[in-house]
Amino acid sequence: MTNATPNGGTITASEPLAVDPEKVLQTLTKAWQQRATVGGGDAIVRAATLNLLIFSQDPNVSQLIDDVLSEIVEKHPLRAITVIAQPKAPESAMRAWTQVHTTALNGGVRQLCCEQVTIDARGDAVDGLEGAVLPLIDPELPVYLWWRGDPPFEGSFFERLVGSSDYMIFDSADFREPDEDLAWVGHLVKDQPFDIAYSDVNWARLTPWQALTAQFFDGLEFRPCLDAISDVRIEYVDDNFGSRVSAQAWLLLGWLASRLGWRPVSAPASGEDGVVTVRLQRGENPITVTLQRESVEGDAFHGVIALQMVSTGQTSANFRVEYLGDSQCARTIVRQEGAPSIERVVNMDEPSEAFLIGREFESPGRDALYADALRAAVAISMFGQ
Amino acid sequence: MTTAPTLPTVSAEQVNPLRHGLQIERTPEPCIMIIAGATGDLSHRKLMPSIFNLAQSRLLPGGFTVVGMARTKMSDDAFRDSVKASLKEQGYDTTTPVWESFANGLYYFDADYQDAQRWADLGEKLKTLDEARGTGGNHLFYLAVPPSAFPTIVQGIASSNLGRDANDPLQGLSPTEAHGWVRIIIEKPFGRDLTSARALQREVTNAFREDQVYRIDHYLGKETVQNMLVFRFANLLFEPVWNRRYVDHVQITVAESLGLEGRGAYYEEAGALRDMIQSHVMQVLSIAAMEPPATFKANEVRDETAKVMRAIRPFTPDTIPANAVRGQYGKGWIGGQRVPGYREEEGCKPDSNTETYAAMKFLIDNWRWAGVPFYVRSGKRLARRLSEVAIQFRELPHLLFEQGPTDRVEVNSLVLRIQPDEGISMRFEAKLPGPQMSLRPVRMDFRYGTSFGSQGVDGYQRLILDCMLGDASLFPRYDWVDASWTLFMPILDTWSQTRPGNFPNYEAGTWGPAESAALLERDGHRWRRI
Repeated sequence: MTNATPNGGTITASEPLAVDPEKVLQTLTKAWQQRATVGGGDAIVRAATLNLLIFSQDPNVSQLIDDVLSEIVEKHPLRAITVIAQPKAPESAMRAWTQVHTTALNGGVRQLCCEQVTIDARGDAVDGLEGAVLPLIDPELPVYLWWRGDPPFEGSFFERLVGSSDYMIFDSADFREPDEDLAWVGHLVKDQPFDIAYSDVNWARLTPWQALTAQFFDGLEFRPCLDAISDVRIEYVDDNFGSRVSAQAWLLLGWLASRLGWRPVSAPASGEDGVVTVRLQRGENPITVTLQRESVEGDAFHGVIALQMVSTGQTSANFRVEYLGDSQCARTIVRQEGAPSIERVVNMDEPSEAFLIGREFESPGRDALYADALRAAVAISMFGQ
Repeated sequence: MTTAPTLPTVSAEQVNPLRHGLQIERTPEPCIMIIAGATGDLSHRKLMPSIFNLAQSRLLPGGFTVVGMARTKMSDDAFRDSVKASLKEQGYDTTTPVWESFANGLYYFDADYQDAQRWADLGEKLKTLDEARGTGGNHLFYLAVPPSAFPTIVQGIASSNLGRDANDPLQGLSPTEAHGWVRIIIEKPFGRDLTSARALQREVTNAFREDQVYRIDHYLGKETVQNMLVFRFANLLFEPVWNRRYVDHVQITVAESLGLEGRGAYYEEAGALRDMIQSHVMQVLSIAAMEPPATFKANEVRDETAKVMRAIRPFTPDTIPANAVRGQYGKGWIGGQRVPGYREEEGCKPDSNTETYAAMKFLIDNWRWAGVPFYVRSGKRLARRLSEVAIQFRELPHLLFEQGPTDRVEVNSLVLRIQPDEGISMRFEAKLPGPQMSLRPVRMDFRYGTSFGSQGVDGYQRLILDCMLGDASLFPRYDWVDASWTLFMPILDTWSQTRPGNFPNYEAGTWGPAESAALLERDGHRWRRI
């Protein structure tokens, strides 16, 4: 299968080849050697910058992973090891497949940019995953564990995988109990029982929101307004999990609170029409936060759709970022009494899963900003509990 | 009773607390960019696309404003339409809300650059826009005009005090008094010789401090040029061999297959030495040869590149013939098409002695590079477009493996390719499979377009953003420019005083004159096949 890449090149993926789980590495080496001799002996280049371990219990995840890999391997050559574990399956079996992805370089040379291994374990065979997976890791390269599942993240297999990894990627958008699950992740990030860096894809989705919000205050003119914020409104769309506030909305509020020194003074109060109100304080200045669940028809977009901050007193102003869904753009507006409003429209494409995963590879290391935002989000959402 | 802790006020902070720790490309403070020469080719073909790319990538600040400036009388709307048409012609989508929003920040101001009143009027316009657009007095001037207009514009800015900013000691203002920053980007060439460069510098310093001046060389915005710094100073592997002990010689090539593309009149006055070698090529050489700076701060990097320029052995009239070669292309073939010779190009004199090719050998008299020749070549209408830095390592001290009658193995080489296909490749020896100990050279490639997928941003885009952010690392400082002109003046003087005699001396579509090959052959080297 051949896919066009954003740079006008092509990525060609071989057909999956079923192999004995014990012979995966030999099969991959053979695949490279075979390609090196095809086409008149032009040495094919093999490049890899990281290991990507993907864990899921969902057997239908393969297509998503194929899509993600086909998009990211040109930019991030890697060895991908996908583990699909179904411990409750009636049969006990472990199967493995290998695939290689290549891209064309100039001069007819091809670069092997992804070695993909898929291991499917069912029933009791799940217990043998550790021995099958860990030897496949390229020891020279960093290991990213992309864990597709809900907290609590636990169990001996999880612990062994995490213990062999440098980074763990998860997506809090999938959390079914956002408050409690964020608290669980907060414990992992704070206490570091596994001594690795954690990345939340849902946090990465907030990047444009953070950038656009921060831009209001890059100039000295509006920076004093940050001292006098009195009202915040976060609007979000999330019809997945009943009346709970989405993890993304909590994280956005957590980011603001951690950066601006806001502390909760009361527990979140649920009102009608999906409104949750939170009372915070900065020093002695009260701040009222409204978390408003909105519904949109048709499209399955989930996430924050607007952030508004109002400052009062001498530096009275209204700052708003709002997502314009139809055009995949956002509008930023500053309103001040007696002055013309300042508006602009910027791109805000909904990033693909592959883009977000690839972005995690580009910003390695522990994200102190996330840790602070998460801690603040948990402190606010769990206040009084 | 407990009292709430006293929190520092945000307004007292020098940095935006919401900016702290964000893993995104930095965004500049809101500002106004004043483009002198806004109706010209450079503005339409390079600047506006670069700025619009920044807007599309969300890298421009809120309130960002462009004031296009030129002699032509035109309304704001007409200017917007002209930018729109130009972007559309270059394949940009101008039907989006992002374009509409960007266009709202485009303004036009017609001016005779010699009219002091118009500069004062511009000052008033900027004040009005600062208030309306929230740009806080941050102004970036971009001189997208022919070099001959640089002094007039700089004088105009000086006459109206538009170059003064909050950091100017004469203003007596602190940065928090929100009078913002003022910077200026000046296109190359900065002068056409040492005398004119110094004269221009005098004009510039009448209006600006050195830290406000950004002399743009778009070559320095290229990913590979920046990657040279990372490659050298972020890897322990290469720096230990980056010296006279292991490097035999260095070759820098900046080759163009294009001719003059309508720039005949300009090129007649410039030539390859001024157009390419004195600026682009020497910047690349400086970065390849510099010592590691203590930090990546702009002035520390620029201190080191300037030291390289000062360490290059000066030319004298006696040493020039053996170390510098010039050439001019005659008619020939490029890509299967017959092309005219230089003297037949529009705007060129039929008996022109302007060089379209220059090659030379430099020696850097310092501890690291003593005795290592740096060969550079640049020309027009060469066989292909290619720019690279090639580090040729020394021969092995002892040959362990028999290689048949020659008993020779290829030396290692490391090539930093600037364009096209930005990337790095290394050649080393490997054993051919089989019972015999046969060696063959293998090339290992790292290419931006494939290893990292994306090609990185355009040089102009990178540099404009850096300037808005106040990062001058990739902009030549005046002491570098002065050192460069000082180095080249003996050659320029000698060449202007002596007729080459054999022009044209290379055919279009070849790799330059025979004398260029002889320059290396005298040292037992040859130009790389590229």
